[in-house]
Amino acid sequence: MRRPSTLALSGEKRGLARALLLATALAGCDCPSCEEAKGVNGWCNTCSTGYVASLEVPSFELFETLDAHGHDIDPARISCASCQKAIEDDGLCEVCRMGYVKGQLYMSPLTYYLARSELRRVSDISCATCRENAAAWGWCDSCGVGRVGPYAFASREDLKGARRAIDILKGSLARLERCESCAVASFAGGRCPECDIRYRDGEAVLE
Amino acid sequence: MNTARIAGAVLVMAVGIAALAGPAEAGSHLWKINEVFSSDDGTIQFIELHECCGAAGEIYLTNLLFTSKATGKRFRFPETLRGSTANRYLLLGTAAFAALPGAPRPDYIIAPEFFSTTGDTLWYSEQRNYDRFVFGTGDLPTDGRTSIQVTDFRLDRFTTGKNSPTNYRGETGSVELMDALFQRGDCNDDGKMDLSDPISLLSALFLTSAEISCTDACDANDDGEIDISDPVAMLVFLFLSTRPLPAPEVCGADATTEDPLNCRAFSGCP
Repeated sequence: MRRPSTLALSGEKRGLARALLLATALAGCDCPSCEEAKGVNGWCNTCSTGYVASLEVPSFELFETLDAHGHDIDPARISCASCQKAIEDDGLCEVCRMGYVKGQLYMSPLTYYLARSELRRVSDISCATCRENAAAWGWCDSCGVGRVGPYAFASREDLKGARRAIDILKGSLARLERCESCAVASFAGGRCPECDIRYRDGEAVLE
Repeated sequence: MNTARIAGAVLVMAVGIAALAGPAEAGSHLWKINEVFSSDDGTIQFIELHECCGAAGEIYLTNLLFTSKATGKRFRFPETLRGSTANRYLLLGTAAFAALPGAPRPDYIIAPEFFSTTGDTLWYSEQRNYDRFVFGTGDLPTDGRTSIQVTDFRLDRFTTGKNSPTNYRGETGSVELMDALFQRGDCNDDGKMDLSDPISLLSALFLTSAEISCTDACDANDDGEIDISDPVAMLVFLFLSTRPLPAPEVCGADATTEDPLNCRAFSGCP
């Protein structure tokens, strides 16, 4: 898998990373940079791996494609009528396969649903059903909350959408070993130029 | 002792995180390759990028590379953009393109023959693979008028049409590379029309598939196509008819411009 050369650590920083890891080992912690990255759907420079939806993404190319953050938009310059409605409704544009939350653009259904969720530590959950749901996924009628891992959703529709999107990401991660470009294309709904395979909704399509 | 050890570890952690984290690396990945144009010799080229999605903050281009896989040539974006980027364009063009009438001023100048005319992979930020466009042999028109226009950046789908480059300021235009003057019927460009012209055309059509630099000259009946009717028209003119071939009879331009034929070079005319 390709690692970004621009994020490679210098010798000095590698030494510091080793010292850091040793220090955290002494203190009994995991890589703190990874823990931080998990919380923000970010990239850990120490371990050269990323995290999105609490899943490890060891490919920088796929991580960049996931684009797990919002983009400021200029609504006046958006020509797609479906997008314009989605901006008003904090919704998903099915035409462009992008979503909008609080005026920010999210480039995929996955990041859109994550933006609509709340991140909660499992240890903070008191409801037994919710804790069970957080281990996999599910809806709690008592609390009126759906969960996928640490993400909490206020509607069944969002829960269903998020679960489907996370399944697509898992499928992409499974493809990484065989072909990184296929992993990217299967998530983005594009075409792998290496294998000439087109993907839609996470699956290869015959053309 | 344990407290001191833990405190020391925490201190190292804090320092380490600060040293390793660095500033957030903002990436402007919503620019997509939108239009590609080239002359047949590659000296006149442009690439147009388009901000795909209405995002206003795609300004962080500094040190990102735009790359041609076939030629290995690279362009490094020098600086951050200014203003809202939503739905705007960036134009990379060669100096020869910039000098053409009708060409909007490129935002950036790229080297001549930056990309291959016979198939290439163009990358916006090869380092981060923000966008990649692949075209094959025969995909890129080089008639001096037509460009590749991407219709779906996810699937590398495109169409071809009259070029229409636009720059960041929103200035748009179109270029048309002028054809050379030629003599109708002098298909082998030897300065005269005789039996060697239909023979060379028949050879190109059926034997050698040799490239014709001035298809207009070989289009003896000016029907916009090069086929068997052209050597027939030449032979009729040479041996049976006194009626001239369609203009130009001597050095001139093709009055019929709405066909795909052109005249890239013709040495028999100034």
